[in-house]
Amino acid sequence: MTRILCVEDDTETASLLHEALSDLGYGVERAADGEQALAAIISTPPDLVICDVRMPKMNGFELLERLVTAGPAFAEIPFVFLTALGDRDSELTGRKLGADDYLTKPVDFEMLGIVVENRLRRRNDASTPQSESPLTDREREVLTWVGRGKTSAEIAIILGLRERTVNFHCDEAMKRLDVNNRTQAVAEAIANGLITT
Amino acid sequence: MIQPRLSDNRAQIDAQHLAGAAARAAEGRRIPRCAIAALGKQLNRSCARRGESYYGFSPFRCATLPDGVARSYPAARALKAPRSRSAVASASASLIGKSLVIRSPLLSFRNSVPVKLAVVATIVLVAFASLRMLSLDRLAAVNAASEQVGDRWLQSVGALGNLTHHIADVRILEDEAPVGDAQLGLGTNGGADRQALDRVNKDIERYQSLQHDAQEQAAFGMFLAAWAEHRRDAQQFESLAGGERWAQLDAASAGAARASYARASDALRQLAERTETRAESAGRIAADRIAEAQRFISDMILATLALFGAIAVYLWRSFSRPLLELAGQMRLLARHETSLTIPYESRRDEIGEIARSLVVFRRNIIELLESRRALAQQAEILAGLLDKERALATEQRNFITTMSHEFRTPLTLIDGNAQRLLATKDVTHVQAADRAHRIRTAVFQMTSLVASLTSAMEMSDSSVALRTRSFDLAKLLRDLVAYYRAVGDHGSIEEKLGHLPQEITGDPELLHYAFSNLVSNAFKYSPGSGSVTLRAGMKDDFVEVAVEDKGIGIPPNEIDRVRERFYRGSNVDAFPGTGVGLHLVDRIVRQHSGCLNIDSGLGQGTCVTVRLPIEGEGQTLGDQQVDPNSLRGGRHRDGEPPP
Repeated sequence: MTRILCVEDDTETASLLHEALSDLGYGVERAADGEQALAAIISTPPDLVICDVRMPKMNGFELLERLVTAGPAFAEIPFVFLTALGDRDSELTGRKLGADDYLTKPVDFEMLGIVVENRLRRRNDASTPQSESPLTDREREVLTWVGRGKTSAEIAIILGLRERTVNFHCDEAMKRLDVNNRTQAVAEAIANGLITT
Repeated sequence: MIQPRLSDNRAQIDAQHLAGAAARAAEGRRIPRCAIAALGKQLNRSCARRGESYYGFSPFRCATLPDGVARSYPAARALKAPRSRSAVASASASLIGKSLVIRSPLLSFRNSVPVKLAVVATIVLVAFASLRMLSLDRLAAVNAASEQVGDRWLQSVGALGNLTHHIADVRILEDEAPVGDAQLGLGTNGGADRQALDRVNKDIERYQSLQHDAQEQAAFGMFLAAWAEHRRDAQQFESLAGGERWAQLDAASAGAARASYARASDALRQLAERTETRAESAGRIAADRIAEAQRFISDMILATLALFGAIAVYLWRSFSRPLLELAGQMRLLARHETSLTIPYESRRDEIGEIARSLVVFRRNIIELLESRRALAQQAEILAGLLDKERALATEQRNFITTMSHEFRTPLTLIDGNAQRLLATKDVTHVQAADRAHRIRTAVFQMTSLVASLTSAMEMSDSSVALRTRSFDLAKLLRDLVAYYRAVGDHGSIEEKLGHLPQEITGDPELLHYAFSNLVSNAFKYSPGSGSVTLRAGMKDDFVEVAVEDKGIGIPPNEIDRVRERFYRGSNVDAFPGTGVGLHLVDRIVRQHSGCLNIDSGLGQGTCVTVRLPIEGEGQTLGDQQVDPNSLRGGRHRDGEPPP
């Protein structure tokens, strides 16, 4: 069973995440701060870490830093930030430290599920050859939300991206799928089993 | 040159008076003397108020004056009064608004360096002339003395010596004559006798032709008398000897002749002795004179040398040393040492002028240093203000970040729980699911607000500089319109793009944000099926982009305020928003040296026009110079559009 470590100091949020990820079929462990998380990761490395940033004792950034210095085995564990810090500087810091993704709260659990799935698959694919997918993960994510009738601005907020970036991904997807508009792109992607709605 | 600054009112009034006087003078009309005096006083007063010294004007300064003043000078000269001249000069200067050479009252022609040098030169010339004259005088005296010795005394002594010698010859012939007559025949001896007598007579004549004083003449007279007596005795003796009365040729006759000769010879000897004595003393006097003249001339030369020394000292003390001192002071001033005292300020010559100019120079340097200090202080204050501003900005950013965080945390819980509620298998009640969706919609709206607020704060952060480059504005606008058309549920958007330049210079990211914001606003504030028009065109060196809607409009008295940060119109309570968007648009446009114009009627709609220069200011960065991490960082990994 895939094990996910959820590092979150707010117990209510943590239990919500636990619930949602368990529903998706993952084994969820919880840590209330960075120190606990570090100890847990070192004793039994999980398959993926979902981590808050603002926490007592050791914050998320420090945790990731420690993990990266702890050794390549730990550095390779997919690490996703899930935080209420939506500003650019915080995201830059997190991504520079080597986070695989940076999600902002409030989070859509479905989206979280997709991100987690993507990260895990990518890690598994690292040994095996890349599956022949015409779309990138981001493009699939974006198209998923386009299929649900969201505007670029809304998708930007959901995915924690910039609106233009969302548009760019849409355009790229349209080019790759060789279609002229978003609706066609979504239909094509569903038809090819690239996204689900 | 001091420029009159007729700044205060009084000075201006004075200037007007003076200008009137100048005009009168220029027309050749007379200015009453009392008026001139009054004007002069006024001018003095105004100059004193300005802390300047004022004086009139001299013909040789005329060349340095502005044309108008120079032209007015003949008119001023006609007034024949220095004060009126200066009054007219200054009045003319103020009249034509140009500077006037204002001479210091301390500088006077009499004391100027050329005059002083001329005086020195005159003294030298006089010294030379008098040295020459006195020397020549002395030499003339010496010459006279030695001439006297040569011409008078030596010749007299010579003449007397000859005379003594020749009368002795005559005496010897006289003595020999009787014996010779007797033995050799009479008259054989007559030729030699006469010759000797002639010589004696010549000698007498020669002596008499020389200059003599009364004593000498008297002594010579005595000799002549004695000689004449002797000659008589001698002739008598001869005639006796020539006759039969040889026997009578006795001792008596011979004795008389001998005695008279002795007297004559005696007189002559005495005269010669005296003359020799006199000649000796005259020689001594001449020698004395020469020595005296030598002494005098050497004294004169020494005195002249002393005079030259004195002149050198004078030149050194009154010109060289002051100039050197002032030069030293100038060097000190150049090193900004202003605490020095400037000497010779009160001198009434060119050196005084230099000193006074130096005083002005020092004052300027002090003012310069003071203004520098003031500037440094101001810079310090500004730096402090800037720091404060920065601290405030940081504080504000931190506040926004924290606020965003604090909002998002409970929103996570609300949204998460709503999601869990939807995911619960036993929520079959449609209404419950519907309500959960509504909760999620509300949360989404709130999250959007928080997100837009934080991104707006990020954009308004002064640390985000413009990243200008050339880009295709028409494409940007077309993409924008295409996007808004694609996203659907807004109203319709119409594009009217006129002729646009191929490329304009600016930050495409920020401008995209700005135009997108304007279009989004246009839709937001046009409830129902809003129709938005996007127009663009070119005017001179500018492009104009207008976004027009038929929405609720902006209250007229608020049009100026809507671009303030956090300000929202009084009629938009029903629409979610933060009041940051338009502020940012305005800011972005101003950063591009453009301007934002808002035209709106309540209930009629709004038209926002952005005017941007085609060649925007700011550094144009090539794409390769842009560090992709600086703006978007880690997000670049998933196939990010190039910045």
